[in-house]
Amino acid sequence: MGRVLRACLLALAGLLVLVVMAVVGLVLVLRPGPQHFACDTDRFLYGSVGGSALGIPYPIFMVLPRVFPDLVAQYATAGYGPAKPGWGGYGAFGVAWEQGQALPAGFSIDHRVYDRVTITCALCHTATWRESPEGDQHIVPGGPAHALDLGNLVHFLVAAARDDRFNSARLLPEIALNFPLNWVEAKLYGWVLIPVTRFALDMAGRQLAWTETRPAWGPGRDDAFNLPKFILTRTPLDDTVGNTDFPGLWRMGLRDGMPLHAGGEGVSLYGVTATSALGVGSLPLPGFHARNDWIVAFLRDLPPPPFPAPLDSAEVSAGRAVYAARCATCHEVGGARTGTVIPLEEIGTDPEHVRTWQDKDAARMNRLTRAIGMSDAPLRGASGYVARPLTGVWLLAPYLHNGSVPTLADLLRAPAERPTVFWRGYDVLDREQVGFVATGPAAEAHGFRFDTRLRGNGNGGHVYGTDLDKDAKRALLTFLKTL
Amino acid sequence: MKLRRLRPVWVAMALVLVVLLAGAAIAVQRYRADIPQHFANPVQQFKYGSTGGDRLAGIPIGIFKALPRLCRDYLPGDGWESLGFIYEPGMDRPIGTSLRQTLGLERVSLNCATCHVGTYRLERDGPAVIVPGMPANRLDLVAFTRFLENCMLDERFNPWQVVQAAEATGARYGPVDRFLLRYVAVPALREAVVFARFRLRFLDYEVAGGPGRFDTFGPLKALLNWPQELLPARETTGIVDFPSLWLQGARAGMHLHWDGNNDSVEERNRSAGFGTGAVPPLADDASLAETASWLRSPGNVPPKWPLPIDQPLAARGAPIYARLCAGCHGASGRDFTGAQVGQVTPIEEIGTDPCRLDNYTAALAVEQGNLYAAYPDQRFRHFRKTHGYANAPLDGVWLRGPYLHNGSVPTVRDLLEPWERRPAAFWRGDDLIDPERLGFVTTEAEEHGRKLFRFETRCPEGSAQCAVAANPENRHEENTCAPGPWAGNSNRGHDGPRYGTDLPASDKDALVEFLKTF
Repeated sequence: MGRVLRACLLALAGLLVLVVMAVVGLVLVLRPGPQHFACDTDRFLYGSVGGSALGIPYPIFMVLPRVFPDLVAQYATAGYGPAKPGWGGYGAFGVAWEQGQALPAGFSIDHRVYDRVTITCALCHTATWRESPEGDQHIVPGGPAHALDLGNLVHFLVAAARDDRFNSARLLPEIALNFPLNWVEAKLYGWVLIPVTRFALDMAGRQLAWTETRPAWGPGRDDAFNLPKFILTRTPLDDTVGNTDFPGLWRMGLRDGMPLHAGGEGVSLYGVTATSALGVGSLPLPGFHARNDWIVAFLRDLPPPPFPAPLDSAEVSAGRAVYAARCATCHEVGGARTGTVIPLEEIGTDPEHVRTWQDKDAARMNRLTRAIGMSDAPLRGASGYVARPLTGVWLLAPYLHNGSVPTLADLLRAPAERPTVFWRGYDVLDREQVGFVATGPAAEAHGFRFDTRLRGNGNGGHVYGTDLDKDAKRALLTFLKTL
Repeated sequence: MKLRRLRPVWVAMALVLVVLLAGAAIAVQRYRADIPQHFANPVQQFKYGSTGGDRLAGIPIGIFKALPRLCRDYLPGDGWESLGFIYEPGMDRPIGTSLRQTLGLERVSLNCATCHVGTYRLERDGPAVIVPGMPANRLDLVAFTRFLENCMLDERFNPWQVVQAAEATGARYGPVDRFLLRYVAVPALREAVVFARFRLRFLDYEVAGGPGRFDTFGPLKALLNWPQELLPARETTGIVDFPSLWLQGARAGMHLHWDGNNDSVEERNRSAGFGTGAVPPLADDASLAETASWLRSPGNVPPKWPLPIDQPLAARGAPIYARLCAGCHGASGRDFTGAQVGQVTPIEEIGTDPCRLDNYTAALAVEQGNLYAAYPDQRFRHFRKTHGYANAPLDGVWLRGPYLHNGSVPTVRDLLEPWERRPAAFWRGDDLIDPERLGFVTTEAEEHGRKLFRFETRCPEGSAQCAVAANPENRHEENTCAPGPWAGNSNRGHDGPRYGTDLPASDKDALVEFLKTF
């Protein structure tokens, strides 16, 4: 064997060892640290799902609103009425933050080498509601985070990264007021973590640049399938708008075997969970499968909270009859069409979401997930919208897949009579109409202005029950509160 | 190597090296040393011990002593006493200051006792009695803050004049110290004051504090760097009376702070430490623990009423107290049992000034949850937004005037009147006991030539500022804080048959007499 060849082989072997060491090192650093929770609900709300790929070092995450209060004020209120608070740290972005908790639901602290904040399922799947404007906020695990403005939150983080103040000289003293950093840690943050975080947030901003020219997500929504399509599978940008409401995740066991996601893109509970976990930065490293299995098991029987007021039993039984006659076929578990994809032509609701995710897009995604060892998590193209069981429907407002109809009472009106413009993200309950207060001075002052005339926001279709008389509608609304 | 072969140059170099190393070691020891002044007596430690805030905000003691003279024109009188600070014989710094050697300098900062040690006197010319744990009824902390800002941003606060002024107080500095003071301490203090003036701008948005009051949660919003100018006006007024700190052990489990937003004594203590600059990485946990342990010890009780009590009259007041007051305020000044003691009475019911309540929001409560987040075991977990004010025990009530959370009612006897008959304006900052009405004398504009603070509970008639307020009392019917020049000062509430304001005058007098036993 020639000397040159031997040297080459040796160099190659050395390189291989280095690469393996780097990968192993990264895996060791990025796997979640040990966490302990008093109960399963706490684990769901605050437990890591291993989303280290999108993790931000905790001290940096914590001080960003303090270093950039002007950007919080600017981004937390973008699109909202004049009374929307632009302060209160991450609380300003409509997260579900229990008093006494270090972080809002959906944020977890992974400790491995350094503390980092990762996001979890609970970020988009924890609902909040209040009985009155002065009332305490209730936090409901598994409900849709209809007040969370994920778009504004991300834009805030990106704007901070692109601001001159995002540097070690400004961030380290602010961190030092709250975190004791020794010399080594100070250098780790100053030389590595702060610049890297800044770079990563800026890159995330470039990956999300396409969102800036499309209608805002607003509170309670994201562009669920354009995110993986444009970012993960690197599909060339198209003109679709797939802004979709965060769904409720109660009693998912009832939906086992049904097509999942708004357009029926999901095939199995595990597959939907695993691909969603990937979406929050959880890579298929050791522990990935078991963790997702736990989430599925937790969501299988998770109950929605009962409607917070007594219901007239005569109205309930009258409403049950209306429901049985008009809704049960598609929405009652066991109904002939429950859990099937209702074709677009038939349901007539806004078509944009379906356009975002066709079979070719699903195929591209499946190639990617197979390549990283997630062949048990395939997705399909969308062809219509899934008729779902109505578990906890009183907390699922606004309604339809794109959240374009503020209340159930509005949904029972002909599309032309539904509000063209309303305000989302104000979490005070509207007991009469069933949903959240979405019109009137308070909603206009605090809420996000939702215009149904924008692309993807159409409020047409689902005309079922719009022909019912007043009494039948009222009874039906009362019955729906029991689900 | 043989000794004789060493050349003198090597010997000299070795000697220089040894000297340099020794010098470096001394310097390191001196400038890295972190030595708080500590007192074996827990009361002394409470009065003069450190919270750790001096590591952040400590002023070199020479400069601290020099400031009142350097900027005399920014003070209402001579010395720190003119702001209400209390000196004891044998101490060269007032009660409520700590001393710690850090960064090679002896630095002074505030501690718990600044706001929680007060004085009373029984005769105008009699001696002032110092009472640990009593609200600092004469200390004007807002004026202290303003003074530091004014003085340290004044042109006089330059390296040369400051050191000169410090040496004029008797301090003696070597060249290294002088260098440190001039080129480290003075610029750092100026920098700190620029920072503080910006972050503490919440003081600009609210009514004048006056002696014995401060905005409890404003500093927290400052630490979180909230955009204070954007907050709705109804949330901007948080000024309240300093509370007493006696018998903290017996308060375990009660809702603490005026609005009852925390039911953990231990957390409340740590949160209060923030006010002295003891941010999480700098807090002196050992010293804070000592203070906390003293506060909950059985020895930490208010002094007894120092004058004779009309026993028959007090005996007549006892059943009235038991019937009307005990349920919320405890069976006596030492026995805090009662169904509603330490609970929160809804604002609609208590009807007192709502500004302090509105000043503390759920948004603030959740952000407090991640203040100590680097220390998971010590993190705040008990802060909650409430919807009323907490029912506090009345131990030492005679030393706690003026009354209500905002100090808007001068005496206990006035509190027993319907709000319309309570004084609309009075003077705060006197420590002379009013034995008839129970509280401090509030009817005189000055004492011993010292001007007292005029407290207005509502817009005085004819005041130019009243024109801007829709409501002269700055409160809405639905008990939310309405902005205005006197917001936070209303003396309404705690009023009606449930609160004894409709009792005959003789019963009220009996009740007042009974409360002297607390």
